[in-house]
Amino acid sequence: MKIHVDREGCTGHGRCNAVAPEVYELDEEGYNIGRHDGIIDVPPGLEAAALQGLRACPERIISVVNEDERASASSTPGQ
Amino acid sequence: MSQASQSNGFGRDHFNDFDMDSKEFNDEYARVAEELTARCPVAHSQLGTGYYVLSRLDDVRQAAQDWKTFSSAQGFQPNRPEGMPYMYPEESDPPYHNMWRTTLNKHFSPQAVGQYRDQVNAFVHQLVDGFVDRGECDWVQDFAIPLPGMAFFVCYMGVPVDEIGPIQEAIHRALFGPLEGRPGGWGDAMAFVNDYMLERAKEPPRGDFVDTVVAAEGVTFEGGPPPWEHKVSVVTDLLAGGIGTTTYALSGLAYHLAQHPEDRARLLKDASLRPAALEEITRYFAAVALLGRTVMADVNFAGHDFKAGDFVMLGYGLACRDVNVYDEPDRINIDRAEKVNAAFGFGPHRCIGSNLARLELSLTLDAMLDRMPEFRIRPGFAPTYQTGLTRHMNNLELVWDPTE
Repeated sequence: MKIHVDREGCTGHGRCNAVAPEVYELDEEGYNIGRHDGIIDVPPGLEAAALQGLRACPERIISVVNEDERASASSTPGQ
Repeated sequence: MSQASQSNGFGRDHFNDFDMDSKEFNDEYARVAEELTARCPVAHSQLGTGYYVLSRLDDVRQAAQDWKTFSSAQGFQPNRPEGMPYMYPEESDPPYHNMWRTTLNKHFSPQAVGQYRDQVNAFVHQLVDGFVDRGECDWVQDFAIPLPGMAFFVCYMGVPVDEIGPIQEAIHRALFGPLEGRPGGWGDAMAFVNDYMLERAKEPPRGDFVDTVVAAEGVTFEGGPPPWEHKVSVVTDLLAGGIGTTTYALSGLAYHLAQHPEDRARLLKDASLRPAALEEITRYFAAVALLGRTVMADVNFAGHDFKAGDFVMLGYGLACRDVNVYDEPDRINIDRAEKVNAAFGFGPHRCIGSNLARLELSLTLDAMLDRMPEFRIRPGFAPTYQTGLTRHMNNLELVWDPTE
């Protein structure tokens, strides 16, 4: 499972980290660290925690990456 | 907006004649929130130049995030008195707002707040010590009002603990005293903050929150450093925004536990239930009822055609009771499935002190469960509230068997 964090929209509530610290890291100022363009590769077994963190985000800026859509978008000619 | 809400037995037409300061809104708060979110996503007030009220969670979130359309730079209260000084960074937009937040946030992250855990816990226990053997207290006056001030002035401002009496007293007058004394309370509080910051600016830096505000690193206003008054207003804004609001959540926490021994028993037995229970308490006892924005361009939003210059209140406290989101919003359900609420706001202005508030709530809950016998509301007592931009419980008389 891959998770996308829209770092632009992160305002530092810190709820993702509060409910799922093993998936979501915060920087010193309390923002989601959003490494690797905000894509988090969820380690196997932590999918449920990742979804809990997603649901805890007040800004609704955390989403599950749809692998099929990404694959087709990146393979579309001209993009 | 075309439907009148008086038909529901309200004492006032809250849909078309809303008034956040009215007795009816205060008295009918929970039902007004449910009716507005169910049937009137854009309510209207006719007071002064008029204002609108958004109450649905999704609308409030979207407007709060869209600061270009819904600006804070003309203040958060409708019909703002002429010449009233602005509070920073709350009453500003990016980029100026974000310059302040960027430099301030490092003191309010969960990690940063965690360094004050022992100190705040000591204050919690000191206050409980003051009444635990007595078998009774007014929880609001004896605990929920003093704690947030102690935490802020000592931990954040670095004021020695034996010197916080006068500023605590001034803040008490400003927030909770008789209406006519409140401007004087604010004047005294701002004078204290100003004098204290002037003193600190002369001292070697301690690397704390006060030094951060005084240095204002990375903050520029009209091409230069921000004026001193802005720095004083930053601290005052945090006082105004942080102290009374935390008080309301702490009040609500005790009020709920006093009435629901079954929840108390579960929380006592299973500490893992406590964080979610506290989120539910902050949803239900959301202290900020509404905060305003100014519409910057004509826009159709929530089904209404807003015009540039319109004033819109974002109903954070109302959105916490959105019937489209929450099953039985007027019931505290510590197992609630919907974990998100609007109590701390959204977007660039979201509450900077939310993690400090959560720390205070968490340590308070632990202390109540560990130190206080099962308490209940004094028979015959029912709390009264005050509502405007924020909501407040005036008193909470608790009793318990001290020999238990």
